[in-house]
Amino acid sequence: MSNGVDNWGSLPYLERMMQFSSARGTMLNDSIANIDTPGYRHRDVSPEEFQAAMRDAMAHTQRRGGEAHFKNTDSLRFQDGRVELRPEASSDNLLFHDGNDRSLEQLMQGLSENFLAFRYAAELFRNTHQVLNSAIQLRP
Amino acid sequence: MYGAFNISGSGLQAQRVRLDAVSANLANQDTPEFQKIAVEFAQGDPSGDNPLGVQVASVNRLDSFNPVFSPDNPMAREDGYVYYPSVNYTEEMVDAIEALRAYEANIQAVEATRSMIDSALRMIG
Repeated sequence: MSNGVDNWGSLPYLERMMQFSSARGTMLNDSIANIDTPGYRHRDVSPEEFQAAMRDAMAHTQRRGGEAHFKNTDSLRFQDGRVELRPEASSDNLLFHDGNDRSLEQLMQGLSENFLAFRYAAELFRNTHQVLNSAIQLRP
Repeated sequence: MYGAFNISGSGLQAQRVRLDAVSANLANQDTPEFQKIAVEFAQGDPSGDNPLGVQVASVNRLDSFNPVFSPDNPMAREDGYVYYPSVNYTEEMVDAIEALRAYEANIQAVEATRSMIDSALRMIG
């Protein structure tokens, strides 16, 4: 019963989105902390890759029904109800003489986007739970 | 998510040590025999338990001086030169600004993490 409620509507997707944002936030914090560390290479997981995995999971559930099923990708592992990130070092940025590929602007942009994504998911999760709660209270 | 606080905290601590070194270099730029301080960072938590975060790998004293011939100076060596530290004011100021900006970026990261935890806690209420 409890498992059924947890998997109601968009809840499993919102839960994964919060897990992903939380884990990505930790990585972004690490990159910011190491912005002056010689040889450090910024590592990240593309939010687009996560969104594609979400899209596939939603399409799969719509086609076949049942619980949300997330497929692993190169950088994402979905197991035991959690999202594990396997980030790769980026090669997009300019490499400085100390071997660091820092880009503070890119990091701060990622941090803002990630925070908003988490907040968005948390608010939706909360509202969905309120809807569920209202429905439960209306039952005779 | 609490680990994110530790990561940003290690960044704040490392940047503060760097700023301390810059302050010491600037304060002693006219002190004979003062050896310029250089701070180097390395990846990983200072406790060594976590590969994430940053730590101060070494605080080096650089043995480089600007010798000025002044045999009457009581601080002069036997060769008659007074050895002032090779502190470049401009370089140190740039280093200080960089450290300050990195410190602010870590503060922003702490704020973002705190707001995320706030949002998560609001789901309960």
